[in-house]
Amino acid sequence: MSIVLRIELIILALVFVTLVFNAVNKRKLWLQYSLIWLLVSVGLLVTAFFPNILDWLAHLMKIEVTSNLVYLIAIFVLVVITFYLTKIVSKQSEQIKTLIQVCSIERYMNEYRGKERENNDEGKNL
Amino acid sequence: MRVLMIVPAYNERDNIVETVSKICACKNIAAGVEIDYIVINDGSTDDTQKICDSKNIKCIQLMQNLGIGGAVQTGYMYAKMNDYDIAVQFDGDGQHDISSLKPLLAPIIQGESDFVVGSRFVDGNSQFQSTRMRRVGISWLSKTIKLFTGITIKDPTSGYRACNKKCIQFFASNYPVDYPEPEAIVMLAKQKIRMKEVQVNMFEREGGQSSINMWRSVYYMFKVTIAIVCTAFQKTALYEEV
Repeated sequence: MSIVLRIELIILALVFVTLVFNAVNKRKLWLQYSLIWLLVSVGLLVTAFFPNILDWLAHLMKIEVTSNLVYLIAIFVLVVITFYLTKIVSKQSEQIKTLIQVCSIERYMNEYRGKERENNDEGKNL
Repeated sequence: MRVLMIVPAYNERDNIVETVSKICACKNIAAGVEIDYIVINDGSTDDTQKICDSKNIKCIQLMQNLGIGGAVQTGYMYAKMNDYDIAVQFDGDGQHDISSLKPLLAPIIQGESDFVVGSRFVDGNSQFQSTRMRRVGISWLSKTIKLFTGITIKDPTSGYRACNKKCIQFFASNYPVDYPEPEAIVMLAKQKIRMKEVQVNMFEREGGQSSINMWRSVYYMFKVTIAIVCTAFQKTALYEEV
C-alpha cells in the first residue's frame, strides 16, 4: 500500500472521528450509537498503519485479491449496521405505538369525565 | 359481569352508527351481564369521528393510524384500565352478527374457556363464507396453527372473538401489529389458555372496502405463516406473567 494512500486513509478516519464527536457533543447522536461508527474509524486507522494485516487475512481466507476482502468486509459491516438500525426502528415503533395508545385513551377519558361533570352540574342547576 | 365490545373502525362512516346501535340494542344476554362498547377510531381520514361526536358515540380517537392490531390493543388496554371482565372484538364494518354474541360469550360466562373465537366454519351455518380462494388460505393457516401448536381453530382469521380478564391483561401488553388475528391465537396457545371455537354468523360487508385486497393476500399469507412459526418457537418468558 502506497504511503499516499495510507495518509489518505488516516485523514479520512480522523475527519470521520471528528464528525462523530461533533454530532455527539451537539446532542445530535446518542453516545451509545456513536460507538459503532468509532469502531469503523478504528478499523480505517488500523488498516492505514498496518496494511499487511489485510494481505495476510486475504491469503488466509483464500481470497486472491486483497481489495475483494476489503469489499467483503465493508459490505458485511454495512449489513450489520443496517440490521442494527432496523432493530432500533422496531423498538421505537413499539414505543411510539404505546405512547399513541396511552395518550389517546387518556385524552378520551378526560373528555368523558369532563362531559360527565357537565351533566352533573346541569343536574344541580335544575 | 361487565362486557366491553371493542369496535375498531377505520373509515367506517357508512357503518359505524348502525353497528353501535345494534350493540346498544343488545340487552339480556344473560343475567347480570352488562354490555358496554368502545369504538376505536384508527385515525380515519373520512368523517367517522364527526359522526361519532354528533351521535354521542363513545369513541377513542387514535392520534395516528396504528393499523388494526394497534387499534384493537388500545381497546384491550382500555378494558384493563377500566377493569372489564370480558372483552369482545366486534368489527365496525357490519360483518359480525350481534345475535351470535350470546353463544360467543356463553363459554366465558360459564368459566369453561378463557378465549372464544367466533367461527364461520364450525358447522357451516354462516351466511357469509368468504370466497373460495380465501377459504383455501384460511384452511392453510388453520393447518399451520394445528401443526405448530396442536390447537384446532377452523377460522383463525375471524376478528369476532371474546376473552376473559386473563387474556385482556395479556393482550394489553402483547398484541401483534398487522394481520394480528391468527398470530394472537398462537401467542395465547403458548400461554396455555383454554380456547374454544363457536359457530357465529357473519354478513358480507355492508359498505366500505375490506382491508385485504388481492395483491396483499400473498404478502398476508407469507407474513402470517412466518409469524405463526416464529411465535411457536418463541420463549414464553418474554411475556409478563398473566
